Parts: sequence; structure tokens; C-alpha cells
Amino acid sequence: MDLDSDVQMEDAIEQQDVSETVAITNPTEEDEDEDDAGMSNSLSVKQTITSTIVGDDDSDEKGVISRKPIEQVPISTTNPKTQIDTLDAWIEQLSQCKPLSEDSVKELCDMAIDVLKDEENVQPVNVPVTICGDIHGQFHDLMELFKIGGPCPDTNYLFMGDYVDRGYYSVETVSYLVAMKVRYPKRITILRGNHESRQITQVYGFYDECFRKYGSANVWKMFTDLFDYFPITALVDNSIFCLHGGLSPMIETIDQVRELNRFQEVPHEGPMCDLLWSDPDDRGGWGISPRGAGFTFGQDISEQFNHTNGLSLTARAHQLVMEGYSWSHPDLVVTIFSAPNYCYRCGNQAAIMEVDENHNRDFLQYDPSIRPGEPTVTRKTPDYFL
Amino acid sequence: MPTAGTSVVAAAVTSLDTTSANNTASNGQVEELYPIALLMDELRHDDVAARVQAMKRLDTISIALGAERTRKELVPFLEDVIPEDEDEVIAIAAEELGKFVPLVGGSEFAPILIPVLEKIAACEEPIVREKAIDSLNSVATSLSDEQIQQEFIPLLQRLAKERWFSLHIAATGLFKSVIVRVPSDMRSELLKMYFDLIQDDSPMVRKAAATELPEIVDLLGERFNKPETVGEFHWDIVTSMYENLVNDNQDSVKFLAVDVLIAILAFLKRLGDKSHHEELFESLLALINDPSWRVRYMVADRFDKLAQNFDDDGYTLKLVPNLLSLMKDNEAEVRKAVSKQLPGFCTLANKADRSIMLEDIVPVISQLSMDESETVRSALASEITGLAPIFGKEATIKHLLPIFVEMLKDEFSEVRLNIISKLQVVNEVIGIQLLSESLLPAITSLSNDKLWRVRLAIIEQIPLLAEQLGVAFFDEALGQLCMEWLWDPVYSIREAAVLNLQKLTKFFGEDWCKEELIKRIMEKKQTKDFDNFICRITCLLALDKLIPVVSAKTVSEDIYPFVNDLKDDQVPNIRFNVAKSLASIAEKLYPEYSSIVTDKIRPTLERLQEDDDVDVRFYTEQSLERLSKLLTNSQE
Amino acid sequence: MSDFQRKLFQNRLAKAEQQLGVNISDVSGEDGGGTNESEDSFGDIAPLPTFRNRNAHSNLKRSSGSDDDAKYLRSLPKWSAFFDSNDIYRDPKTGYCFQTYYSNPVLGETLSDTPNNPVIFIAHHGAGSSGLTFAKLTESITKQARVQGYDSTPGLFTFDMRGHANTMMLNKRGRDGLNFDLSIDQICKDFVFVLGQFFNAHFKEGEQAPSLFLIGHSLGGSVITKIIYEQQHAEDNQKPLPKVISDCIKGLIMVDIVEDTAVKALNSMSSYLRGVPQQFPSMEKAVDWHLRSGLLNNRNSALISVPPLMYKSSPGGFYHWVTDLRRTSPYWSTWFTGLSSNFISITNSVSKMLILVNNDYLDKDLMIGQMQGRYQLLVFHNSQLQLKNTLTTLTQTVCSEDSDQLGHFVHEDIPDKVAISLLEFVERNDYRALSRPENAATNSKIDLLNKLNAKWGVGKK
Repeated sequence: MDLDSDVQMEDAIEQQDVSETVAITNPTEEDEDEDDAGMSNSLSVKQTITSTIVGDDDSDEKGVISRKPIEQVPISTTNPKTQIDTLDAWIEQLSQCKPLSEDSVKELCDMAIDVLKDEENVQPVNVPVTICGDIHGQFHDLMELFKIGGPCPDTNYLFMGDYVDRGYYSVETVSYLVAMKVRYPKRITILRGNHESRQITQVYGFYDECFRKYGSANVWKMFTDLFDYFPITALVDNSIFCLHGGLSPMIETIDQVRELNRFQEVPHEGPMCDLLWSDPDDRGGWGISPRGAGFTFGQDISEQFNHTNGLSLTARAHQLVMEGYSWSHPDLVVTIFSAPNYCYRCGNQAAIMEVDENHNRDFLQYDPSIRPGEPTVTRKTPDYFL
Repeated sequence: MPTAGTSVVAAAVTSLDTTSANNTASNGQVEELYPIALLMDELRHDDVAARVQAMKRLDTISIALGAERTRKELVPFLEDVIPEDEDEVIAIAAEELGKFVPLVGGSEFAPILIPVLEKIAACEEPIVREKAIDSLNSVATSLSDEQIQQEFIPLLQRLAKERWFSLHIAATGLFKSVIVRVPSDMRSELLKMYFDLIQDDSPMVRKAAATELPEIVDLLGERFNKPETVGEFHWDIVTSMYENLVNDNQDSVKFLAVDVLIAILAFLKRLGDKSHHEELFESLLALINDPSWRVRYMVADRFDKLAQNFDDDGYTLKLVPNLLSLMKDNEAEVRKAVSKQLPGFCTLANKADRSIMLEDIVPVISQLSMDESETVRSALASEITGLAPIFGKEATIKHLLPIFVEMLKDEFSEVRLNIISKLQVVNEVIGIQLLSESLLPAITSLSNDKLWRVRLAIIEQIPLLAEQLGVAFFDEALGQLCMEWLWDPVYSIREAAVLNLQKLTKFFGEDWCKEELIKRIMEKKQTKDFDNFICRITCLLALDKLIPVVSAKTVSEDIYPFVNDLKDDQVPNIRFNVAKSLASIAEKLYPEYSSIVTDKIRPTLERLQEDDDVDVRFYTEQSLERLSKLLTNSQE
Repeated sequence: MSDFQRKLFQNRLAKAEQQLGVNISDVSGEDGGGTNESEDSFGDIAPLPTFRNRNAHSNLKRSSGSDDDAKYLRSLPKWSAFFDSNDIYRDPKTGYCFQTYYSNPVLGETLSDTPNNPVIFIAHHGAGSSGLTFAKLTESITKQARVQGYDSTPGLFTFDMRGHANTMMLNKRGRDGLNFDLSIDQICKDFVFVLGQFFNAHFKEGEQAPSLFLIGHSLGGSVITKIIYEQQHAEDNQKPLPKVISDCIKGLIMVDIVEDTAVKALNSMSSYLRGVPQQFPSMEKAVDWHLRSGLLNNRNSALISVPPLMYKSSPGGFYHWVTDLRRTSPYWSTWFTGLSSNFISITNSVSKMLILVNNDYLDKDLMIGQMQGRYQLLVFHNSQLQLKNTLTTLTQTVCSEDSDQLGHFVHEDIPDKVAISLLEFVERNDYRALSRPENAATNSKIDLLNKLNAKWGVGKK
């Protein structure tokens, strides 16, 4: 009974917190519109602080209640002007963390395939650009990222994969980024991460989320089919090699990446798998990755790879780093991780890396956008556990 | 029939899976044949999510069946099938059934829903049980008084008498629907039954009963507060229940007594009866001094409400020492909770005896502002500014301002932020001049806070300060700061800084803007920083935002040349912002400086139309449209 | 329509009957002590509190007779269908005896110059279970090693832990306290003893050393993690295992255990256990209960893994639990403390894998560890099983007895899929022990690595 009382008391306090949050949230949403309009005469700072809280969507985390039907958005035509209007409307809707209708997702993915199929395995990217790591469905933190780094298209972005899984808003996150990609193909580059895969998303949440939000796996199928078209690496101004995971023993030159056939599910092994799965390591040479896929590579490998390919740096994501970014192999490899307080429990900072037109690098670190309004993790504990 | 029927169902289910629900609906005949079969099939789906979905369509199916078949087939079917299912599914069913009264044919038939909901209410999973109770209560609202007595009261009796804790818990949730609707003798019987639940063996039941009790007391109090009806309140039973709770050996039950006390006091307040205050106050003292922090927390959290409901200056003063002891409680949660009660309680204390407030309470507030727990300080910070109107100008300056200044230096950013965000209240009391003089040093140091939201909060205070301080004082104290924010690493700060400049220009006028802002931006162009794209785009955006608030002359002489110089920038993002800006400039300059528009801006845009970059072309296109609209309109 | 309804209702009735055969709770005592139960003793049954007691009495008398039970018992598979030997290890210090089971490894012909090391999985079951929980897994490992084309077949060694299954029965006459000292330290000591005995009995100095992969399910996972953690981090004289054994340990596999979740779930264990029937009229009912409650989902496995959990105190009497889990509750708080951080802190010389079921709810330590690539995480999902085509890419379709439902006992529910994962894990992390000759791409990964390092002109430092 003592145990029971523990739980109940916490509930009492939690409920109180929630009601406070709700009270703050309502004026906030209106306030956000004002901010968008560019002027805010409000004195209240608190509102700005919580301005990223949108609704309390924890209901769908309990698995009991799923979302209301997703609203329809105007249908686009092939007319480019209308297409842009449609995209802008989608982006506007998504920026409120409201998912698109299934039909719109279908249309969006078709447009995205048109854009992405012509990108290269090693997609060239110009400076200035802001380079970002894992997002993992933390939509509100993605919005925070844009608050820190500046809005697209004014700022150019390169995302290094892992948009989905684990966080609660994978659908909104990946829809938003893909819509931005279609709308501003030259301003934003989205690479493929190891989570942009059919197999992984079935286990780590994206599949379930699609099912919960759309009542079927259709949207999951559309997106995972689209993922096959994502470029797997990028080369920033011939100098910074960007990819999700790391190097592959089968890849000595960047040209070898160009020869891969990337239009497929992320394989279980082989060079394409390694690029999305490998990690740098303190040990030299190639090693078996404890992850069960990819390799670990030492400083000697990085030195050789950067030298062979005339690179100043390899930038990658894939690993959680507590400060948001971390150098390995002194200054040859940098890890960037852009999901603050990963999975709502890891307590890490996030970071992005700005590279200006003179190749100066600046790291911007940031914390989670939301504290009080985040859905509390209420998973059913198993009945039996011994 | 069984085999044929099954295969038809199977076919229909398949078709439903592959096509959308709308399509099937138009396929009228098939739909009409077996909604219930479909439901049953879906309800046996292996996947819980599918069963949940099926359950959510319960009302649709009921409508399709009509009221009679709903009563005769659907409800019995549910009664049989539901209690065995997963909690998620039952929860939905419980919720849906709450809306079923019209679907079974109106209140006349509403009792038919009671048995199935009763079964669900017996569930041990609290979420499911609560939904069933809610639905039973909503069914109860549509029952006639007679139906209540014949159908609902027996349900209550069954639940309360059964020897099983979850049924007892279910029972506690249902009294509120009926307690004021039954005849007098039945009410006293019900309250006795409730008394048993308050003393139940299971703490969970006692807790549930205690949680529901305040609402029941409120209902009784609202209904029976006239001298002739006051007996129906059943004072003796109610206060005995309260006493039982106060003396409960589980703190998780005991702390719920606080809300019951509030309800009892509310009743007495309505009656204007203070004869029981002494004993009730004694019981409250016991709760305040309870060894369990949870109990003390509950009192702390409801302190203002309690004082209000005592509704007596004498008791307000008697509560002051208790307030102070809670403010010094060992447990941070208690101190945090009581901090939030300060404005409310101090309003009462101020009315009762102002000197006690200033002499006794203020020193403890001051202590609390240096509390070891940051969450306590943060809670205090969010409330303490609310004391200013109560204190009045002089006392605020003397007692509160020093505390604000200290809290503005707090190492925990949320504390600082909570103070800043509510300064307007203080401003209204003591005036901006005094406020800024005493707080300016703190504000200056916060303008470099490492947390960008703190910096942002400060920027958003600037226009207000500027307006009230006047140009001279502002330039000296804050002018430099406002420019520095433009070069902040965080975009949102730069954006806010840009907007800030626009607002300041509105207050201080064009000359000030040229001298203090535009000139400094021009100077920036000569520095090495201007090699950086972020610096260039910020200058561009800052000037762009000034276009509407300065004269056409300034735009033509200062802003246009600067923007125009960036038209060949190597970074496309700059070029398309130039394109956007040029349209704004044209709109400002036309027709006064029409030659710049037609001879310079238009050719520039036409050249940018051929740019390599798709976005530059896109925004140029838009600007040219604006331009041609401008020129056409003016010709008309 | 009404046919449908009727049919459904009948099904439900049948289900209720089945359930009632089991739901009878023994009010007489804690340790299942009632000795002279007969079918007439139903008078003692406390009234079932909920509506589920409908139709109770009409069905109660129909419980199966002891002849049926004997027949059923005879039909059950025996340990020898899965293992080669079932030695009893007696601890000379305390006289305590452990029931063990061992299925020998089989070395295939190897093409390379160095002979393969034998691979042996050392498996530790969780609380309330028994060594035979791994019986089906053992069978699947053998089957899959062949089907998947591996050059040799790993063995599996396991035992019944203190206070459980046959080990409990073997020591029943001794001091009862011995059976119920289930502190994590004692369980670890037992494991060290049993592993030592096993190693000394089967491997002589100078012979080919085996590669050992430790598997622990639930509490068992906590035990093996604690031992390996201490082996790596304790002072030399405090290390639990002799070097000759610890050098052989190549991998560690935890099955469905996360510290945070386990600790939270323990809070509700008491009430869960209160709801568990105390006795069963027949073994068949006991097996059925395990399947119907969702604890187990694979009947073939339940047939071998449930019987050792039950005993009958008198002929014709009821079956009771060998282990009264409620008596172990004083130790629960010790079982999982520090598990996650220990697991993460185990260095790469022992490869690590965590197998989870139906959710990937990792606690903070495990989440950070996973996101830093410190171990392999494998999650089996019910929803994933429905998408069979994407389940695994390395294997061809094989005939499988795997269930399509998953629970905490994943190695029982889907032994084939777990076996395949274990074999791949071994192959990946210890090429000397296990490889697939016909699969050139995956053959001897480390050889490949060495070649690659040579090609890149780099090497391990």
C-alpha cells in the first residue's frame, strides 16, 4: 500500500503540473501567430519560453486513444505555381505539428522521388551550410533547431539522417523535412540514416506511429519506399565529407561511393550498410562494431581517407554525444547529434555546425525546446518480471 | 447458414481492409447486411489496435442497427464479449457506452446500459474503471428520479456490498450522481453506506472515497444551506467522515482530508456559521504538523483556499504562524507549494493586519528567495512580483525590490526569467523610472546570459524600457546592447534584435535611427565580419525592417545603395533576400523616387531573373510581380 | 447473425470453463501444503469476487482424473530429447546439489588450418523458471546450425538455479533456508561454482579451449552481467572466475531485461503473484494456464518447460508450484540494481547483445549505450512477425515452430528466430568458432578485417 501511495501522490503533483501547462499553452498558440507576423507587444516572457509547446499529444502515447482523422489539404496540380502553393500550405500545416492526410503524403512522396532520384550518391553541397545530426522524431526540437540556426530557405541545411523512430513525432518530422526538400531542393539536403529503413522502423517506432496516426501502414510504406532514394553522403565544397555513420573498408575513395547502387533497402552488410552504420573508435584500424552492423575505424583510417580524398573533415552523426558534438581522431572526424535530451531521458545537449563561405566552423549547442508539455512516458510495465 | 455467413463476412472484411471506409459505405447493401457481424469479426481481430478501432465505431453500428436491435442484440453481445478483452478495448467501449442513451431509444431504456457498465466498472484497471464510472454517471443524468431509485440505487448497493475492493472503488464514484436526487431517508442510508467506504479495509477504497467526498459535500452544501433544509446536509455523518480521514493511518488517504475540510468550510461560509471553526482549526493544525510531508504539502498547496473559507480575519492571523512554518518546512515540495500561495494569502493577511505581513511574513519570504532548492526559488520568483500591488509603492520599494534584485542574479536561469517576465506588474506599482534604475544593472548582465531564451526575454523588455526612459538615458544605458544582439550566434536573438531596432525607431524617430542604427550598420560593412554570410544577411534584414519606419529619402540615400551592393553576392541566399528587399524599397520609393524604381531597381531585378539559382529566380519573380502591380496601379 | 452470436458465446463459455478449472485458489496455505485434496474439497473455495464466477459450480466437478493425468505426463517430451546429459553437481562445501543439462557441441570438418573452437552457450534462467526453459532453444540451435550452413554446432549448458525446479527438489530434505537464500550474491556464487564444475569436467588444460557465450534470461541476465562486470573491474584477487575460464568468455547475451523496467515491474509483482493460481488439478491444466495467461505462447516449448515447475505432494493430489515466488520477494530489490550501467561498462573484449520483446524501452544508461554503439540491440516485435518477408535477410525460409505471439519468454516463444540471432552473433564476434564455408562474404570476418587492414596499410595498435 505504501507503494501505491507513492504513485498516487506523484499523480497528484503531476496533474497539477499538467493543468498549469495547459493554462500557459492556450494563450501561447495565439502568441505564436503574432511572432510570425513579426511583432509582439506582449510583455509576457513566459509565453515565449513555452511557445514551442503545441497541444498535449500524450494521448496517443498511451495507445488507448489515437488521433482524430487527419484533415484533407487542397489537391495540387502539375502547375508549378499551384504546386508551390500546395507545398507552402503543407509546410505551414506541418510546422504546427499537424500531419498531412494520407493522400497528401502520397503526393508529397511522388514529388520527392522526382527530386531525389537525380541527386548523387555523393551529393555536392555549397557553403555556407548548417550541418545537423540525428532528429529521431523530436519535432519540437527540430523547430528549436531552426530557431537557433535560422529558418530555411534563408539558411542552407544539411541533415545527416535519422529523422524517424524513438521520438513521438516521426511522421511530422519526416514529412516536414521532405516537404522542405521538395520546396527548396537547393537549400536543404537530406541524407539517409540507418533508421531510414524498412527493417529498423518496424522495431523502433515509426511503423507503429504511422499505424496509429493513419490507421494503416500505407504511409509507412510510402516513406520507406521514398527512403531508398535519399542520397547516402554529401560533399561540402569538396572538403567536408558528410554521412550518417562512417567509413567502410570497402570504400577507399569517394568515387567508389559514386559507383554504388543506393536505390535499395539498407543492406545487412557491405559498403552502403557501413556508410550508415560505422563508428569511429579509439582503436586503430578496422574493427567489428559492437552494434552488430558496420565497422569501427581508427584514426589511421580517417587520416588515410581524408588524405586520399583531399578532405579537411569527415562529419557524421549516428552516435549520441553528451555535448551535442564531439571530435574524434583529433580534428579529422566530428560527430554531430541534434536530438536534445534524446528520447526524453538521456539528458544530452544537441548541436549543429555552421560552416560559412570561408570554411569557418561554428558549433551551436542547444537544449530541449519543451520541458513541461512533453508527453510523459507512460508505458505499461509488464505483468510478469522475474 | 453459418458457413455461408462466415465467408460473406470474410469477404466483406477483406474489402473493407483494402478500400476506404467511405467506399464501403456507398456500397449500401453489403454494409446493411452485417454491421454487427463485421464488428464481431473485428472485435476478435488478433491485433488490439483493430479491436480498438472497431470499438470506436460502436455508435455508427448502433445507429445502423436501430434502437431496438441495439438493445436486443448489441448491448447483450457487448455485455458478453467486452469484459474478457484487453483494457484498451474495454476503455473505449466504456467511453462509447456513455453516449448510448439516445441510441438505445432514450432515457426510458437507459437502464439497459447499467449491467454492462457495471461489469466494466468492476475492472481492476483504473483507467477502464474510471471511464465506466463516468459513463454510468452520464447515464444517471438521463434517468428519472424513479429510475434512479429502482435501477441505480440497487447498483450502488451491489457494488458497495460486494467484497471486492475494485467494486467498492467503483461505488465511490457514483454517489455524486444521486446523492441530492433521492428522498431524505434514502440519502441518509446512502451516506451511511459511504461512511462504510470511508472506513473500508482497503486503503485504495478509502482513498477513492476520500477523493470523491469533497464533491459530495459540495453538492449537499449547495442544495441544503437554508435553515429549513440544513438537516439534510447530515452534518454529523459528514464531519465523522472527515474525522476518520484526518485520523487515517495512511498518509495517502489522510492528505485528502484537506479538500474535505475546504468543502465543509465552504458550506459553513454559505451559512455564515462560525460555531465549528475552533474544532475545525484544531484538526487543520494536526494536518499542518503531520509527520508526513505529503499531508503538509496538501495543506500548503491549498493554503489560500483554506484561509478564504475560514473567512475570518482572526483565523487569517492565526494561520500566519502556520504559513511561516510551512515556508520553512524541511521538504522542498512543501516550500514550493506554499510559495505559490503567497499572493492570495497575503491579500487576506494585508486586510487583517498589514504590519504582520510586513514584519512577520516578509523576512521569511526573503529567506525563501535564497532557498537551497532551485525549484522553490523558481516557484517563488513566478509569484513574488504579484505581491507588489498588495504591498503598494512604498513597501514594494522598501521590501520587495531588494529581493527582486537578488533573484535577478540567481544562478538558476528560470528564477531570473520568472522575475523578468512579470515585471510589468511591478512597473504598474512603482513606475518604470524607479524600476529601471534599480534593475538596470541586473538587466545588463542578463543581456549576455548564456541561455538564449533569457537574452530573448530581455530584448522583449527593451521597447517598454525605451519608451519610458527616453532617448538620452536609453542611449547611454542600453544603446550599445541593442546593436550587439544583432551579432548573436543564435538566430532567434538576431531576429528579435532586428525587430527591436524597428520598434525603437518608432519611438525615437528617424534622425536617431540614422545616427545610431544605420550608421553603425554601414560601419559594420567595413569590418572583416562582413565576410561572413550571417553578418551580411543580418544587416540586410535589419535594413529591410527599417524601410517602413523611415522616410523615402533615407531609404533612397542609405538603405537602397547598401542593399543594391549585395545584388551580386556569391551566396544565393543573400541574392534572393536582396530581390525581396528591392520590392519593398520600390514600394516605399514610388512615386517620389520613381526613377530609382524604373531605371535601377527594375533592371536589377530583370537581371536577377536570369540567376543560376532557382530560389533567386523565384523570389525575383515575386518581386517583379509586386513591381508591376505598383507601376500599373499608379497609372490608373 | 444470431448463429454468430451463439457460436461466440459458446466459445466464451468453453473458455470460461477452462479457466475455472484453474482459477480455484487454495486458501489453505502459503506453501501449497494442503495434502489431502480431493474433488470434494471445493467447499473451501472462496467466492470469486467478480462476475467471472458465472457458471462456476456446474463445471468444477469435471476436472480430469488422475488416469488422464498420468497419460498426459507420459505423452510429454523428456529432457533427453534435447540434451545429451543431465549431471548433478554437488557443492562439497554446503552439500547443495544442482541439476544441470548439457547438449554437446559438434565440431564440423574445417577447411582452414586452425581447427574450430567448440562454441558453448552457458544459459542461466530467470526466477520462477528452470533450465529446461532453454530446451527448445537448444534444439533450434542445433537445427539452425545445420540449416544455415554453419561448419559446426554449438552446445548449450544450463542448470536449475537454487530453489528452482529439480535443484529445489534435490535439496528439499535439507535445510529449507538454503533453497531460499536467493540474494544476487548467492546466485552469482552458485553460477560460478556450476560453471567451474562444468568447465573442469569437460575441458582439460592444453586442449582446444572452448568459446563460451553466456545467455541470461531476466534475472539470469542480471546474474551473468554482474559476474562479467566484476570479472573485468574487480581487483585480481576478487575476480569471481579463474582466468582460464574467463578467457574463454567471448560474449554475453541478455534476454528481455532492462533494469528500470524490471524494477518498476517488481512493484506490481506481488499483486500479480496473488492472482496466479496456487494449484492445478492436472499437469495439462498447468500447461494450459501458462499458455492462456500469455506467459508462454509456444505449446511445444511449454510441454517441456512447465512440468519441472510443478510438483504433486501426494498421488492423486493437486499440482503445486515448486518455487513459491512470493518467498523470494525479500531479495527482489537486490536483483537488478546497477544492471544497466554494469552492462554498458563491460568492455569490448566480451561482445554484448540485448534481446528485447515487443518494446525498445531502454532506460537512460542502456539508451545512451545503444546510441553510442556499445552493444547490439535486437528487438522482436509482434507486429514485425506479421511482416514475415522483412524479418531477416540472412536466412532462407525454414520450417519453424515459432509462435506468432511473443512474451517475456521469447526464447521459448520463437526459439528458431532467437537461435538464428545467436548463431549470427557468434559468427560475427568469434569467427574462429563458427563460420559458414559456403558463404564467402561472411566467412571469417576477422580474416577479412586483417586483410583489409593490410590493404589499407594500417593495423590495430
